Amino acid sequence: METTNTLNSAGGFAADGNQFLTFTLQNEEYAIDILRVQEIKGFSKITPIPNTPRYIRGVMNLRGTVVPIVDLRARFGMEETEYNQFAVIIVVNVGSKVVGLVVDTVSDVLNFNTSDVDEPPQLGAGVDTSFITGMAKVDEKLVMLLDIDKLVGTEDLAAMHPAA
Amino acid sequence: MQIDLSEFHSVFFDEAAEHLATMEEGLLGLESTPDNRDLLNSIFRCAHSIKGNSSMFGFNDISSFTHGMESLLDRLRDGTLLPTSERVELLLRATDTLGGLLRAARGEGTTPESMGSLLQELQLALDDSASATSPAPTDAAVEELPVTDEAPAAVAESALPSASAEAGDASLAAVTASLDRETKCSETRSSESKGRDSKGGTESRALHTEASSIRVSVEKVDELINLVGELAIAQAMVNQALSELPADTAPLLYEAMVSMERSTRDLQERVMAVRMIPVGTVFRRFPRLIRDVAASLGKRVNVEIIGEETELDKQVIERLSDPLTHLVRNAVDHGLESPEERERLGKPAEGCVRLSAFHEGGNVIIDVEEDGRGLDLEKIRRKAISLGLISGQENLNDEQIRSLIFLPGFSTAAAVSDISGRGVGMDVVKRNIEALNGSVSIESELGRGTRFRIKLPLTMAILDGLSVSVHEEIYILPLLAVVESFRPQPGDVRTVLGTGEVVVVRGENVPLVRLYAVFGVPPQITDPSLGLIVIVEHQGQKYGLLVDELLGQLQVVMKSLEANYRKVDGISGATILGDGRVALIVDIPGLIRLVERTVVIPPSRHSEDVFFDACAALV
Repeated sequence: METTNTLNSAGGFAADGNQFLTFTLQNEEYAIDILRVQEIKGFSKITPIPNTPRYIRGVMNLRGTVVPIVDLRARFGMEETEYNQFAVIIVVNVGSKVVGLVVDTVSDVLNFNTSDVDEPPQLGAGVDTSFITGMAKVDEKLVMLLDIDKLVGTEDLAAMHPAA
Repeated sequence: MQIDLSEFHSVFFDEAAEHLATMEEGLLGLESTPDNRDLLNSIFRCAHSIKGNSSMFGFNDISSFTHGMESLLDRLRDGTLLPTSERVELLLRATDTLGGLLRAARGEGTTPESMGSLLQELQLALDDSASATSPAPTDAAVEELPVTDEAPAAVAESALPSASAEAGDASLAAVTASLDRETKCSETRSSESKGRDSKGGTESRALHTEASSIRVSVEKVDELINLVGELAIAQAMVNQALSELPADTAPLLYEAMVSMERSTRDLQERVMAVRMIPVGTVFRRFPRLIRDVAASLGKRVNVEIIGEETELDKQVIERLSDPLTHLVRNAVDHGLESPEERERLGKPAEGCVRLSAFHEGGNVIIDVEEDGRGLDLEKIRRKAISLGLISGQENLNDEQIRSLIFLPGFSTAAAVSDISGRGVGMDVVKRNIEALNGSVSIESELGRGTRFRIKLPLTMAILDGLSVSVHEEIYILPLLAVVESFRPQPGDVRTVLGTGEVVVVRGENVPLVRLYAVFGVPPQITDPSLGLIVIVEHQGQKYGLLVDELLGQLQVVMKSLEANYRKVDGISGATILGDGRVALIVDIPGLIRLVERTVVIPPSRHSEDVFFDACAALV
């Protein structure tokens, strides 16, 4: 965690910036708004749910609450790996729901100034970038800022909840 | 000293609603037993309480309206007027308006327009009494009666222009004073009325002892239930951990665990019991509903209510109200014949609708039955064919034909009335009850009547389950649906049409459902003779589920998947096992629907769910 300090000092705690939690997936850096993060948990036994999309790994017991776990690698169509005890689950709040995200590793807490953040790239029809709100450059590394609600909110959890 | 009265408002409204319900119930009772003094007294007390409390809170509309009702009730009570059906009817309409006034005061809706006209009618009804008592009534004398009666209420109202504590006390004093006045008045009356009032006195004392109960918000009770659920899970986890230690490590620890386990179980039971409320709370609205529906259809109905003290989870009762209302309306509208037709058939002109509730095993059974025309199976079958719900080729037994009325879009009523028969409903009734982990069945005899039987679990929070394993996964089957389990002989499982499979159980062909295939988990045991078959029953139809192993019977705390995720086909919820992992609870009706959508089942074994899905596909 030596890089933490240098990164933080580079980003600074500017008043106009937001704090983000960054994590890695297949050597790529991603970030989510830290205010949406409830806690970070080690990987534990996940119970698969039948007939659900691949990226819904299943459900986990979070102190008595049954929480669905989204596999972000599968969500992004990346190569899936067998997660072991080194994998990390980021528990986030999406609306009134609590959802866990499996990621490779959690790296840092960073402050981004609005000036650091560029528009998301247009990669053509083949790549869905709708849940990327922006890209930030930190120490020559590219960090993609994710919109949690678009990522796991709307169509997967909330909208599929029966209206009745 | 200023007191914010608004925080007492909700208590007032709750109490007023209860009083209103008691009044309505009493008035309905009065229709059949007009000389029941106790009923009159209790109705009067309710009106009086609403009047007193509403004037204390400054709801002048309500207090003056209730005052009008109270005046008439007082005349009925002291015997000056007889509770004729017209007067009871008037008072019933007045309770409706009073309900509207209470809603308006709560900020839901506007003051009912009927208020003014009803007050006048109540006044007129009083005038009858004046004419009855004095041979030559003058207008002045008629006017006088209400004025004298108005006095205490006027004092009460004038005493509370501002919501101050003193004003509250003053109005309370005024109400008490008026109560005293009434008691004194009645004491001077005949000996009969003395006896009556002394009875009234003991009852009001009984009311005081009721104050030993407290009003608690449902949220608080729910929090408690959640916490106790957590405790039960934690306790199971400790137990599990302990069982992994050598048996003789710490005998004291084991002893402590046993007593803790007992206490936890007791605690859980007691806390669940707090949520239990008598089913009468939902039943009590039906006499009125039946009366109104019957009146609008020109039918005569006698309502019987049995077992209203049977207790059920509050959550279940709340969600039972809609389906029950539907069944009751249907019973009166479709079930019962007109009085003329009944007489022609040699039945009593007055039909009977009976609502009963009782315990059976770990379940509560609620019956809605009438002695009407019964279900005409042939008519239902023809109708289902004409609607394209069935082809007419199926070999359906009577029970399966009766279940056809639960299909969406099915309605046998020739004319669509505003009460029932819009073709929506029975399918919703069935779905609502299944959502409560219950089931509904029909018994009917042509010309003799129909009985809808609803079978419900005592509570939705805890489920008696059978845990089974499929490879690494553990599933909980609701014990209610499980019939038996066994290991089949190699020859017992046969394929039908190459794809469907049946298992032969004592000569009966039961469709085989490979649970691993339906739930898409990697199989460990694919040969049925190496695994186990659990026979489950849904709507009189049996299915054999192939699982690896039976793990045991257990009580599980139901957790919703919808809270954080969404509804999953074939799964009704989840629970947390002793080792902390999540196990899914299988929803048998949902599983069957899932199976029939994907697997071919021999034609003769079709249940109505196939039609259900077929017509869903057509839409």
